[in-house]
Amino acid sequence: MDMFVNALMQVFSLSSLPLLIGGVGLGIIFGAIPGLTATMAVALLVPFTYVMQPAQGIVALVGVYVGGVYGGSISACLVNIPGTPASMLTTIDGYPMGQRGEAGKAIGYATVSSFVGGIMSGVILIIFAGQVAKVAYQFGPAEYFGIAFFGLTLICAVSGENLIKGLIAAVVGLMIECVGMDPVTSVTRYVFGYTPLLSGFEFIPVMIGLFGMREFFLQISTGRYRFQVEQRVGKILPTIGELLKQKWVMLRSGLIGTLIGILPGAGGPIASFLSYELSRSTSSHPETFGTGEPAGLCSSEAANNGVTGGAIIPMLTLGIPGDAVTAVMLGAFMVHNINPGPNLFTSSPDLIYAIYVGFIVANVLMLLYGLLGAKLFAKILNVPMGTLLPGVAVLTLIGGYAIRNSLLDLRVVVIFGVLGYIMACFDFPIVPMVLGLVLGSLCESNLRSALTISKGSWLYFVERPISLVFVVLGLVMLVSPILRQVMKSRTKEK
Amino acid sequence: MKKWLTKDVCSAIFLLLFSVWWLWGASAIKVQSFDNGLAADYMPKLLGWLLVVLSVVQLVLGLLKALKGEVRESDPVPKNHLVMLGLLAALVAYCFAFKPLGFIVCTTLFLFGTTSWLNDPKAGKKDVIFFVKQLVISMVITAMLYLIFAVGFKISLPTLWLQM
Amino acid sequence: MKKKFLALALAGAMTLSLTACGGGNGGNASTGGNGGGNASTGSSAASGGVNFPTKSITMIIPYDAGGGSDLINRRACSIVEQQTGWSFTCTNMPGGSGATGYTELLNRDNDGYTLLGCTSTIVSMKQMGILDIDHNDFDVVAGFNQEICVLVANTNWAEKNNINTLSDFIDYSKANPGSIAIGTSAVGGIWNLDLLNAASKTGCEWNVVPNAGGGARAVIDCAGGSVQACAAGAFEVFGQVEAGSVKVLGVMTDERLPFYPDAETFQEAGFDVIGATTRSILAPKGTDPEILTVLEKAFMDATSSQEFIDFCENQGTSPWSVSGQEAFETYNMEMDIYASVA
Repeated sequence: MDMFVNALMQVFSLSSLPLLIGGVGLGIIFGAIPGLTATMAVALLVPFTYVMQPAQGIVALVGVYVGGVYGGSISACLVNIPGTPASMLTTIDGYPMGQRGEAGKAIGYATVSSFVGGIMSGVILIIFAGQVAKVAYQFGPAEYFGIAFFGLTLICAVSGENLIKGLIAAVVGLMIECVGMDPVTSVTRYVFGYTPLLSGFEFIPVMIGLFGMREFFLQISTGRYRFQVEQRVGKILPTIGELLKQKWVMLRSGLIGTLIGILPGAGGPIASFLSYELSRSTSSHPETFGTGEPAGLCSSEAANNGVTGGAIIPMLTLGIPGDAVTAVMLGAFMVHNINPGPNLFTSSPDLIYAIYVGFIVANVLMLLYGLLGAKLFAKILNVPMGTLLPGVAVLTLIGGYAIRNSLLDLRVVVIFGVLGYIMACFDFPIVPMVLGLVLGSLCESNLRSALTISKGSWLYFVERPISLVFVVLGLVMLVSPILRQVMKSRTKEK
Repeated sequence: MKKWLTKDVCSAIFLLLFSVWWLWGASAIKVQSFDNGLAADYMPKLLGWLLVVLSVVQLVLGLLKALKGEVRESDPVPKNHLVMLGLLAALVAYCFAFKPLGFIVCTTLFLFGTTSWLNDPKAGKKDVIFFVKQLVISMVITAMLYLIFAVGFKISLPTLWLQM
Repeated sequence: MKKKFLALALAGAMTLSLTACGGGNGGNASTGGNGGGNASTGSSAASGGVNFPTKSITMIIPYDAGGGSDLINRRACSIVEQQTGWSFTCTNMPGGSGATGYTELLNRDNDGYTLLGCTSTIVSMKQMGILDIDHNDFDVVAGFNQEICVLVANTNWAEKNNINTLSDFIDYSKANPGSIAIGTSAVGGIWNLDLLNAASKTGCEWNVVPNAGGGARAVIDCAGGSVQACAAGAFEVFGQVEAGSVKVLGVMTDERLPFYPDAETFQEAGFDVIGATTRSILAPKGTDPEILTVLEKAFMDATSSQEFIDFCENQGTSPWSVSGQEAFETYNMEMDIYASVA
């Protein structure tokens, strides 16, 4: 118990607290700017942590992580561009809310949901870290494939009427992922001798192009930018009552996020997609989703912050990253000559407790930043769209370029922006395509590794319990549209 | 004839052609002799065939709908093609000029061009003062962006007088 | 009204010019900003004859930020900065296991201000037929790190089958050909090539399971038991070895590694198997030999410092401080190995 007190004192000390405050703030900024991500922020900061003590440096990075995932919701709500991949689903309801003049409310919902999700994952992290982590060890190629397969079949289950178009979008997304050197055998596919394409399309520029640049085109083509949205002054934040109405959504989504975060390889986008769709299908008024429904916004945001605590669990306990950001954080551990793993709990318990406390404090700071800043953030929409839009467009371009200093990425932003626009014109949804991109390489490389281990036997996937579960779930999802049709016609006959 | 060429039908045909090209590309993949796991061309071929099937389904459904006369009023139809093309040209120019001319020059020009076009001056007419104002705004925004990215985040951006 | 605009215009112009002169880590050529000033005072002492460097040096790191290669490279650069007062701008350009970065370096000026930290993929890419260039197309400045390929096995599996040494492992493999699944990096990756080399030299038949990317995934799969063994870098396996989930059986170098003292070398077991990824600094071909000498000395000093040695050994990677010529010859040796198995 005094470990805890020690950790509290450590985090709140004069040397550590400002770092944490700064870290969360920096993370939010990075998260909010499309193109700059939490992963980038952490990667940029790692060398700076050389000079800090391990507890200080790593806690600061945790702050950046928490802030970064939350920050993405700000631009998602304000300008319909997800600041980070995890906020893609937040745009669906956050942006319409902003367009109704309720930008402050949107940010308020996003902030509180992120906080709830984060705290829930923090609690699970603290209580269950040891036990839950063992599950991560069981994850081999077959299980990863199972997750990817399940994720992809979700598209079938939720696309509803647009099933064919959704599937086409997903297939095209998977195809885009195939471009480049094959990850397993390094054979070049669809490269045609163009060296910058050797490692395929970098995900972030594609995402920014599909969401951000496309939004730019859509606004201009429909002349939407000419209408200035009046932001409601005064009660800019949602009331306590409104927030409490969403409490179950937030808690449930936070839990989903945490669980997905624990699974190595699955992260923000998958978690927010899952919880959004779950909320929508269990809601009594599913048709409001997509028009600015608070439940939709809250599910997405609570889930993506839930991932943060969850992802830290396998990182700390096994040295296995739960998502991209924690993978970079592992590097930070190395810098300080600390090796995460089961030994960490016995060799540096003070560090562990500092991380626990730091994580909770970071979430609190995020809440404060968000609530206090909501008014300020909402004011951004008062800038004339004619200036805000080009500014955001330029941001997306730089953001795409800055990922790896690549001219190709810069062009990718524009190319996929055009593609996204064309897709909108022809009524193709982009979310399944992005899912295909996110899950594509996870799916393919693990499928092939698993089959190599089993020497070509497809039974391998059903022999292992965890992958069996995912395969069955996936198959259920695949046939669910048919099941739904059958049930519909049955009720009609009655 | 026009009745048949609905949006769904057009896109389906395009996708069909695309998947044919894709499958051709898949056959060009050099497959190494690999005993156990799947070869590098498995996934591309699988996806290619999937797309063929799906686009055919869409084509058929689209034609059926067109037959029945169920053509919906579609959503964001581009009204101002000229603006869109001009915008695209500006973006393409930006991409190509980025390295030679550098970040600062390109961004300023781009912002100036787009904000001047998109903004409506309060006076009603776009006179010199309006353009000067837009130019200044563009320069200030560019400077801010440069400060944030190149100096603050230490991301190297190409500029006219420095090699990246 | 007009005055306001004039003022705003002036302000904008000033801000722009300020950022141009004062800011920017790309280096300041003429006006001698912060970075440049620092460099010139430091270098005149170190360089002797030639006046180098006078501004910031760009170091291209063709790998992801936060990864092993990135961390070691950046650490080496920061020690050079401390010792000489020079300034580096490290830029990550990941892609194609280094291919993107190597291709980029070809197009840069050979004035010594653009360098790159490479791994052995500079040799293997050509053998794989992916790139047309290799180490012969660049000037090798100095070698700064070697990460040895090691063979680890899942601890539980090894105990169950009484496998305690490398020789036990090889005997078991020969008695049960094709039954052991060994995870490693992607086909054409360094560890994969080294594993194939080991297989051919020892005469064992293993089920080689390639994984996307480097060895990190393979190590985790091995720790979890999906594969029984794995061949990866000493750095990559370190965490799991400490955790006790995997056990190092053999190392592919000529002397036992200090951080895995119980692991035999393949040579001790009777097989001439050497495998490592060799990291060195490259410069575009045709760089002035005097500049190369200055750079070589700086890096060799930095990598023989205690700080660098400690950093490396704490992660399970081997500090290496060799001249450009020696690094080049190492690459030639590796080229022969890869050619025989690729």
